[in-house]
Amino acid sequence: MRRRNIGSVMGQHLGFRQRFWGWAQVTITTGTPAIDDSHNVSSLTDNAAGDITVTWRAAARSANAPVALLSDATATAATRAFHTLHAQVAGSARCAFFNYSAAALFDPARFYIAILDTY
Amino acid sequence: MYRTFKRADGSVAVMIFATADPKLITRDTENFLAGHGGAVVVGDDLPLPKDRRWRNQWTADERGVFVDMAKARVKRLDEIRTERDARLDASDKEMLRAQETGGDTRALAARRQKLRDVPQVVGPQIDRIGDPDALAAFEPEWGDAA
Repeated sequence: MRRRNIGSVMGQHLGFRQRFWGWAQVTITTGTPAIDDSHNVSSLTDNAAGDITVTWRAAARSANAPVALLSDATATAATRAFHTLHAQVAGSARCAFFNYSAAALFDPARFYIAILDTY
Repeated sequence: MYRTFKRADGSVAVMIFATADPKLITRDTENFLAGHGGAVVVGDDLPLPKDRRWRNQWTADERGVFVDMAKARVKRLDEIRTERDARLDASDKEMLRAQETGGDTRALAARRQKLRDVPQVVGPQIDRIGDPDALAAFEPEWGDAA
């Protein structure tokens, strides 16, 4: 139901020409990140603190497919944080979460990633 | 299911699978190994540290993933140096004010010297800590008002 709703909303806004190719919600609280929910994700690689690669089950058709990344840093007290796509290829997206205050990568409490593709 | 890798530099990566498809698991594993020359698979579903305080100081063998205490001690000492520098910076204004107003600069200078010496003083104490939680909880005696 959730996937259908997201796809439906996106389809209305984008004239049914694009959709979420894949998405994931990930929580990082204990030893290793947990995938709360996902679509078209085969694995998540915990490379280091604040450095995570999401691998798509089926690769997007373009290495430049738009990717949206959001993070929730509240639980980590990262007062000036930003997230970025460290590297992207058609099959995966490597995400980096940076804490300006500590001048280092950090683990957000939760993050969300979604990739769009045409069909 | 998750799979633990050890890279050539000794650092650890953990791959968490969102699928049970063996073809995809093999594909993602091979892609990781191809992208990290010298990396090896250590094992599947190995015990992990309970938190990520020392995530970048993890190491792994067939028994599990654990904190490399030598690396963690270096990291904690770096954190203490950073904190020490911040406390020294904070005392700069106090020293200037004391100099301008004829305050007790000798006591302040002694406190600042004590701050400078903190890493040397706590180094041997940190070397004796063998537990990651105890290392995380370790705090030097700063000896300043900050």
